[in-house]
Order: sequence, then C-alpha cells, then structure tokens
Amino acid sequence: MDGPHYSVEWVGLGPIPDKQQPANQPWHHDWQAAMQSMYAQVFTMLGAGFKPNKPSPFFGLDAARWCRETMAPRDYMNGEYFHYWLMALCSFIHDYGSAAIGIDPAELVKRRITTTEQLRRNASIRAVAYRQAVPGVQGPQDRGALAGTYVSADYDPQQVGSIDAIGRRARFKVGDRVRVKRVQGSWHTRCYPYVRGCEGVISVNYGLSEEKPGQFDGRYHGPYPEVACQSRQKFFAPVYGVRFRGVGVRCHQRRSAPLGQSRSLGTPSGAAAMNPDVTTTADLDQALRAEPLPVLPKNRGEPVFRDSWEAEAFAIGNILVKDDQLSCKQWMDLMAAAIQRAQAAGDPDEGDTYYHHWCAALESFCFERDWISPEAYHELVELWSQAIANTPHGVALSLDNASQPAVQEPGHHHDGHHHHHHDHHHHGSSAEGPPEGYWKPIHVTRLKEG
Amino acid sequence: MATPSDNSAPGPEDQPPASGDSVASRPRRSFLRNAGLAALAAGAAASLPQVEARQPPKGTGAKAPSPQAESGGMGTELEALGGSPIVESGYHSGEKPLPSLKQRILALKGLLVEKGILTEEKINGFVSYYEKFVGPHLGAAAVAHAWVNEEFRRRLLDPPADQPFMATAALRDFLFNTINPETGHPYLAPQLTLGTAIGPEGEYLRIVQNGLQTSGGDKGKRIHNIVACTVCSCYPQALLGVQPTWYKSQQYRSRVISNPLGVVDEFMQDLVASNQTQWAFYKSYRDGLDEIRTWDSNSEVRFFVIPEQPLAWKGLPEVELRKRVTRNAMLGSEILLP
Repeated sequence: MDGPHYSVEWVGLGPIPDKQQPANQPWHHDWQAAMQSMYAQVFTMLGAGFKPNKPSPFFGLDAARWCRETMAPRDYMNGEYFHYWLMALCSFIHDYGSAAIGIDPAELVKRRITTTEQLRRNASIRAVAYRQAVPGVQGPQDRGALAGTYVSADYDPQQVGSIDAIGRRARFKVGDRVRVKRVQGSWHTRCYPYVRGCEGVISVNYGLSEEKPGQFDGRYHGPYPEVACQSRQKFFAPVYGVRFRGVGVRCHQRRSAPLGQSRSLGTPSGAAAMNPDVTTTADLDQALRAEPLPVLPKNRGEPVFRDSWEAEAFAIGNILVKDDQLSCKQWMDLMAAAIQRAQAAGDPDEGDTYYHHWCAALESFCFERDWISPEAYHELVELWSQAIANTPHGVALSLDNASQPAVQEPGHHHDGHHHHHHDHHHHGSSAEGPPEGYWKPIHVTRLKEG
Repeated sequence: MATPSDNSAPGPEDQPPASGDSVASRPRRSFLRNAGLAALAAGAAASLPQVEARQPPKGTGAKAPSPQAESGGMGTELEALGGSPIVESGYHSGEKPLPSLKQRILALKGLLVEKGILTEEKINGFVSYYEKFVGPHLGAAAVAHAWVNEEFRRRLLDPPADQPFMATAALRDFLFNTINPETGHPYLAPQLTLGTAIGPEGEYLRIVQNGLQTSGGDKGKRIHNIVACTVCSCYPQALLGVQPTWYKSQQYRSRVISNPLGVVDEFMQDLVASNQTQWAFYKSYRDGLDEIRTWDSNSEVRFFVIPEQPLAWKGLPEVELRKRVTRNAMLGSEILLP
C-alpha cells in the first residue's frame, strides 16, 4: 500500500461519517449493492480454475485486489468507495476481458462506463508494478511455461513437497523479536507503511496447512495473496500476527486529554468542545484565541532564561523557523499541542515550565519529520542522563561519559556537541562558578540533510 | 429490511469521505465452485454460469502500450498517469467527464447481463444474502452466549496455540444449533455457509474481548480493543455482514492507528449526546483502562470483539442480551451503555 490508498498518516479529514448507519441497511443504494454483487461474483468465477499444488491462472479475487490497489492516484483521489470497485473490474476486463470472460474493453468505453484514458493510465501503473520484485521472490522468467511468472523455491509447494511442509518450516515462533522490512513499491502489498522498519514481537503464528474441504483445522491455508496476485504463481507462506508498541510505529500517537479537562479549548460547549482531538484548523484557531499561549518571560524586552538549556532550546526553535523548516504558525501549533498535553497530564502551569513545553514541541517536530524515532530519541536521553550522572558538577557534559565517569580536569574542553541538561538548577548557588565555555551556545546539528 | 432509495440526487452517502479499498464481500475462493448464490434468494437450486476461467494470455502483465508511444504529448510519466492527481489539468488530453457512478454501474450491469456473464437473479441473490441472512445479529448472538457461558467464551478467546483460528469451530457449533427467534430457524445452516465453516470471510477469525480480561495472559487487566483495516476494509463479515460506511471511510482508517482513543471518544460523544449519566459511565470505563490495542485486519485475518457486558445486564436472559449488543461495540469503536 504505497499509493493514495494509504491514509494512515493523513490528518485533518474531519469527523468520521455515518457512525450510526443502521445495521439492517447494508447499502445506501441498490446500485451500490449491485456493484458489490457483480464484483464478488465476477472475480470469484474467474478464480474457479484454482487447483491446489498446480501453477494456476491469475486468481480472480487476488486479481481484483491487484487491480484496485494499483489504481492511478487521480482516479483514486477523485473517486468514492464503489468507484474503486468499478474501476478494478474495468481494469481487469482491460487486461483479460476478452480471453477470460468474453468482454471487450472497447465495449466499456462505448457504454461510457470508463474512458480510454482512464483505462490506459491505470494499466501503465500495473505495467510498472508488475516488474517490481517482492522480497524473497526471484525475478520474472521470460521463457517457456514460466513466462510471466515469478518463482520462489522456498514457497512453491511443488518444490518443497507440500503446503504443510512449507508451514512446518516457518521461520518464526511466538515471542521472537522481528523487524519489518522497508519494502516499497507500486504493487499491491499489505505491508503497512506505518510499521516498515519498526520492531515488533510475534504474538501468534497463524500457521500454514493444506486446506481440506469439510475438515477445518484452525490454521491458515493460503495461498499468500501478496505475491500470488501480482506474480500469478502459487506462493504459500505462513502468516504471523506481530505486535507493535503504539508509540513505536511511524505515526506519532497523540494522547487525548482526559475527559472533562478541556481548559485549553476554552469553555466546553457541547460534544465538539469535549473532543480534545482537534481535527480542523478552525478548531485550533478558536482554541488559540480562547486561551493564548503563556507569555514568554522577558526582562526589559529581552527574553529571560533561568538556565542555559532554556536559551539553547529557544535558539533552536527560532533557527528552525528562520531556516524555513517550518512556519511560525506551525511552530505555534506545536507549542499549543505540547502545552495542552502537559496540562492534561497535570501540569499546574505556574509559569516555570514554559521551556519544557518548548522542548516538547521540538521533540514533536523531530518525530513528525521522521528525523529520529521516539525510541531512538529516548535512548539518547537515557545516555545523556547517564552522562550527567557520571559527570561532576562543573565539568562539561559529553555523551562519551554515558559509559564511563568523566574526569575533572580544570580547563579541559570537549569539542563537538555539548548539552547541559538541568532541571530547575540555579547556578548562582555554586561557589566556583561555571567553567569556561559554559555559556557557549551549543552547536546546532542538522539531524538530516535536505 | 431496508429498501434503499434509488434516487440519484446527491446525499450524505455520496460525499467523498466514503472511500477505501475493500474486499467487502469476497467469498472464499474454494467454495463458490460448489455453491449457487442465487439459491439463497430464490430458494431453488441454481448453478454458476458455465463460463470457463480461461488462462490469460501468457506473458501479459498488462496490455498498456508504453506511455511514450501513446501520449503524444510530453511523454513524461506524469502525463501517462493523467497529470497531477488533484488538479484537473489532465483534461488536456480531451478526456471527457463520465456520467454519474450510478449510471456507470447500471451500464456495467446491463453489459454483464447482456453477455450472459451474470443474471439479474444472481445479482439480486447475493444482495439478498447480505440483507437477510448475514448481519450483526449473528455476532450479537455469539456475544450474548459468550457472556453467559464461560466455556464457550474460552473457546472463542483462547484457541489452542497451534490452531489459532479454532474459535470458528466453536462459532459454527453454536450458530448451527441455536434458533433465531425471529425466523424460527437456526442462525446458520449449510446452505447459508456456502461450503465454509461459518460463511464467507469467517474462517480466519481472531476474537478478543473489551474491558476486564477474563482469561489468558492478560487476565485481570482492563484492555480496550478496536478493529480496523487501514489498507482497505477487511472485516469479519461472517459475523457482522457488510461493512458500514464509517469503517470504510478515510477518516476512520487514517485516525485509528495514531489516535484510537480519540476515535472511540468521538463515537461515544455522538452516541451519548448530552446524556451526562451515559457520559460518566463511559468516562469511568475509559479512565480504568490499562491498555488500548488497535487490530489492523488484512485479507487473511479478521478480528472481532466481545464487548464488556454492563453489570446492570447481568442476569438478563440470553435472548434479551442479544438485542442489546450493537455492531459498533463488536468492532470496539463503541462500548455498550446500560
């Protein structure tokens, strides 16, 4: 799912529609019902040639998925749900209609079911997707009986011996820690983009065994549509359930505020105000107007910092905006969200946590830009905490000291990345004063080029 | 049973948000060889049309000519794809706007019937199946039984580790042997399951429970589960029928991973409106949760939720409990309110 079908990281689409659709009304219109009926029956009839353990013609239902999920973005984004099904059927008829069910695609155009251009642009995506490889599958063979198919020795029951044998060779077991490959392409794939590259744990092995009609054995039977539908080959693989931590996947999990605490959204009035998940810009504008951001601490027009890290955080935020990494408005949004989260978590907001919100906003920004994952970030924070624990006061901090104690050498200076990280520590109380270079601003490191 | 209106004036359901790929009612490959769908509506035996699934021509991935040759314009990939996906500048090619979706679907229907691929009866038979026989009443019956029968509940929630889909067998036993009071017949019968265990999209089911976990490794914890299909709209059809619009919508699919609790909040706000007692009930449930889990379905595994039984309903007869279980609660987008 790499095309417009993938919407997990879209935001701002508004409230979920039709939440109370009556259970006795499966479709809103009978032409929708007819579309679903035609789609299911035509594609299933085409799959009727399926024979276990034999290379087969294109699976009907997997072909349906293939056609749907290689739709041109223009047609997908400008269409509605049943349009996708109509388009998939038209695409299939374009590719196989004459031979498979005796319908000429020109007939579709003539009856204004689709246009030549629509058929062509969708076919051009399938042409590209077809050539792309799937991990574990070798490239297309161009000769003889295998022309147009992929071959993968490990997952072909004829080569392994049986479907059950493939199941017995399953690589993973429950409890194994796994990482999802970063597959990417135009073809039909059920590898959710939001878990690509992420680590998870095998929570269940759904197995693989040969289907015996009338003797249900509680395991998965295959074939595995991922490859079957675009390679037109019998490809059997075990299926697993994998569990991921919510904050570890590629879309940042925003926490809703506890119920009833909607201070940051102004006076609650009705259901909309009680929903802390702001989904439209208008809502956020209204929220900001109702309760503006706390005032930046200042003394005689100059910002006041109680610690160097506050100054550094302030500098980073300003540099990001100055470098056009984000707009002022976007920064305000990040701050507002950070403040809201903090208050929801119980921050009494006595004015001394302003730069904590600032840092939280910076963190959100880095996660949103995918410059660093939350897990890697928290590992870094851990390392810095250890470095701090290992470093006597007055000695410059360095990440090197996460694993070994720092040696107090007067005048010693580390190059590179410094970061002081104190919680409400007032330096006026220290007798010897800050070491040389204490107030030197940190080197702003770009985490990612471009 | 609803009679969907046929007027083509745009209504709420015509708005763009109802989008999503789907295999909404996709019978398993292996059974339709043996079954006639039209039998369900007509009550008479019927057979599939005698159309051979011929081999597609060898070596054909797609018949599209290369974009370079065909477009005659700039020859870029973007041109071949019809221009920018959003901006309608692609009409340089003279592509004419199509009639409404309804008209196109009816035209396709006319074509398929004319060529003898399908008949009106077969098309309507499928529709009838999902309007009359398969729907949330099946899931509700299973949930009510799971509430009152601990053994059944355990079979649903804790199948053997090497037979993870065995809950389906328990469901089959129950639904085949339990009378639906509204029809006087068992909830399911062989002619309704079309050669599968409990019906299309019912074999590969994993069942979880909301609220207090009564068995398994998480026993004692309070967990909320919510089901989705972010890539299309895979759904436990054998127990719940056809997916509702909200389940297929981009709004739901886009938020359920990043903010599942917010999604449940939104559902409950709509459901509860200004009823403070019900809101307090939900708040108390929500505040007591240890964990929220989102289950992303796919073409091969579907998920189903046993909602938490409100304490006020303990002791009610099973036939009464069945009426109170809502579809949304069986997906985890809502909880049941006493």
